[in-house]
Amino acid sequence: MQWTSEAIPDEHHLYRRVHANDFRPSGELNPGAFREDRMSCDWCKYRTPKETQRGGPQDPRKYAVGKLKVGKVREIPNQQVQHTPDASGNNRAHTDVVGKKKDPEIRLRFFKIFCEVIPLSSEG
Amino acid sequence: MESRVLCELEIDESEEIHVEHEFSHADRVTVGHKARTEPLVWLAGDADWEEPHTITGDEKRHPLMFAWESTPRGRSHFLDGFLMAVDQAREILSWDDDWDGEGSPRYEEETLQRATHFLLDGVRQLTAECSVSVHVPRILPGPDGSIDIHWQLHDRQMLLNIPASVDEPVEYFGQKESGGSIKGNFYLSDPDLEPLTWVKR
Repeated sequence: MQWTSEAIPDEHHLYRRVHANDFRPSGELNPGAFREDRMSCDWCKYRTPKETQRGGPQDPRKYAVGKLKVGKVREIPNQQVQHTPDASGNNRAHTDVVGKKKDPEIRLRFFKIFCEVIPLSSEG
Repeated sequence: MESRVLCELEIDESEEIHVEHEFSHADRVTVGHKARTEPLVWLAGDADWEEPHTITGDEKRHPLMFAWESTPRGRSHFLDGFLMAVDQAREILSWDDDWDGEGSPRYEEETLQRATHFLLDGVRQLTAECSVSVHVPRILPGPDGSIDIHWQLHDRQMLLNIPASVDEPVEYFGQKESGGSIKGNFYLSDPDLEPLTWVKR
């Protein structure tokens, strides 16, 4: 199945899987959770948070899921939202947030707009 | 005015403990092999630190460098919280490559040491020169083997990144809820204490 890349509206959300190691023992998220220059997310149009949680390389119980509002992501400097459907992974929702993440300002801004929707330890 | 003294303790290959007193004098305490099998954290709870007493710690913690603040009333808020933060941070040293399933590299002891040394040296300098104390940060895993130092206070945040490579600069960004912000970078060979003054108590 081939899917074309679509424009994602500002008011939509991206779901982002976050690994258990990105949380402190207290349950608080680390700003380092937003570290990949091509940060994989799922567009809410084609996936649910549960599907995103199950879509990782490890046991779903090792992941929490949060959402990022697309318009807010686009307000972060030098970050682009690119819908990149993944045919081999059968994931039409796949979306990359492209841009350098090492800059502390960038990661703090992702940290502030991230909203958890599936906490850690919820069964996938 | 309450005196505040910050000291450093190092354990070298000869297994001697060296203690340097910031303001009055330098001294050396030799404990030999005993220090390897008994608790390693020594505290000068008051000015009379020539007879230090053991309070906590074990060989697994085994940090190569300790620091403490000595005041007439004992340890400072910063040191208590700092030791806890370092203890928690040391867990990331046990993570292997690909600890997140996304290919992230492991964390090196040297990177964590650079982070803790920057904090301790900076706090020591601010305490000595300006009588300024600093909120205790969290020491966290950052991107590409780097270490994040994060202050999340009620009215502001500061994120400072210690890179895995000494050839890369430290970067920081702070933001107040009221809207002000601070951003910059520096090399650890010429540290900038501005981000620490931004999170003073």
